[in-house]
Amino acid sequence: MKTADRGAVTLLTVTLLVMLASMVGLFTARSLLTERLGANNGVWAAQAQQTAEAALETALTQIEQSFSTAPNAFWSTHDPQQCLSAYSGVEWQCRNLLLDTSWDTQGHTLLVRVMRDVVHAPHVALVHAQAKHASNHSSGLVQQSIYLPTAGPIGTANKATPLLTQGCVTEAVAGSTRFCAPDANPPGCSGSGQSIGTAIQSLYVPDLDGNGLISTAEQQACLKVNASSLQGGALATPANALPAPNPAACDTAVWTSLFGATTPAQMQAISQAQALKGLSSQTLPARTVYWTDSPAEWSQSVGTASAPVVLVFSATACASQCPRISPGTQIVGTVFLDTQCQDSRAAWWHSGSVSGQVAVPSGLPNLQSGSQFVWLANHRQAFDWPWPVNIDATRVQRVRGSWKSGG
Amino acid sequence: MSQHPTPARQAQGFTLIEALVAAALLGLGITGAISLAMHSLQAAGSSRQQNIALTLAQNTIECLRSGPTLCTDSAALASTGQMQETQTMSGTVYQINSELSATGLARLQGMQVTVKWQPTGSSSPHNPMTPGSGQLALRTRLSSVPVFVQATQP
Repeated sequence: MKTADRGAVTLLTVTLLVMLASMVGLFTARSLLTERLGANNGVWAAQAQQTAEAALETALTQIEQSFSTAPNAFWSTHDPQQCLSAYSGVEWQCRNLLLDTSWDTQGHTLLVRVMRDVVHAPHVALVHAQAKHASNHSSGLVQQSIYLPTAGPIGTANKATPLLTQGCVTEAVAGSTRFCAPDANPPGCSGSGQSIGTAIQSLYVPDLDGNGLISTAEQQACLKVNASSLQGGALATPANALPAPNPAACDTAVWTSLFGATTPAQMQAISQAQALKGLSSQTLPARTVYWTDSPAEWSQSVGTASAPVVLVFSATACASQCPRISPGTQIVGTVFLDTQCQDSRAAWWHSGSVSGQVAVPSGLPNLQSGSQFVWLANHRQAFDWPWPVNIDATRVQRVRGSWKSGG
Repeated sequence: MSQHPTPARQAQGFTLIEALVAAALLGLGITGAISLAMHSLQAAGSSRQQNIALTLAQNTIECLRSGPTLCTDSAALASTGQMQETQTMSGTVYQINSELSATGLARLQGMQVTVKWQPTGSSSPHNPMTPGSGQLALRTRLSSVPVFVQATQP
């Protein structure tokens, strides 16, 4: 190498070294920038998550307040757009919740959806809260299930009988009705006369002789149904005399034994929600709760053995006389007549063909010919919603272990 | 009579200039690289501190949210409404302030957890309260809606 070239080579080498150092520096800076961005994203994501969490907590408090002030108004609407894709079935009722916004959401947009299954679990709602930030594109998502006081656990004192009354039962024409008690042999009350369970149970029988006890004669005088109608089923009455049901202060013994802690207003609200969702006997799942205020005769067959229904003729429907169920109409499930403890409102009633249980907080005088009462063990399935044991069903509570983040 | 430099002397002169230029370039390059490396180290340390602070804030919120049965700090915060705690991690002191505040709704409280620390490279490394400290705050809310817990048989 010539002496003159040595300098040029040195300069070139140094330039290359400097370029190399600059490139290493640039790559380091870029990697550092990525790390810095990652750290900032972590903070933004955490802030979004905590904001979503705050939205969920606010929603729970608002829902609790809503149920304490107007318990049956919360589910009076349905917005299909608020149903997430996994909850788009006809049984899902969805709504969004307008949150109190008097707090610093740190630039996040909040969306809270509340969803419930009006057929299988109308007492459980899924609350889904989302927080999104427009500029840093962070988002947080949390959800939690809660128990709602929209219903209660079923009664534990329900009787295994196709007809439960709080007064006397008579037939318009002797032997013209049919009662199929539990444990009928063969099942289905084929007319063999071998039923061994209770065909009619009354929670009240007049103590005619005033001795404080209910004798067999008093029982038979009150539940005056022909033996052929009973198909071998037994009659059940209290052993001791009880005060007569008072129409001015009608007790809820029959309702409670059947529906437990669920109130009439709650049952009506669930019926309205199912109607709002467009549920009917033809949908899948089918409608299970029917509450009617109409005095018109009922002529729609509803319920199946695998999906029984509950049909409530309200005090309004029974204002003068409870609507009859048309002959030939079949109801599978539970039928309740809200007679307000007045026998006259249930007089000359026709039951159609009920497989399940009919419950009346009064007597049933002059039952019309052709009325059929067949026991079905799972008749309460329509309102036997899955409640945990010993829960106080009158308040909003979180479902343990249901909290989830990130959808 | 003028004397012209010989080619060998000319080459020596150029080599000196080139060497000086090369040294200057190398010096600049090395200075830049060292400066960049220092800055990178400082920024990496700052990111690490921020990540630690975030984890501390999240842990504190989760602890306070879990209630007094699982988190003793939760009971202390509920009684006083404010709580301070200091933790040292990787040589940095983190001061954690937790605070409860009222909201417009009954049975709903606001909760803020703020973590302060002295960023890497700044003065007064053990006094996180000095101006220019690193700071991170997470805000959330806490409802009193209870969790249903199945009573167990004795």
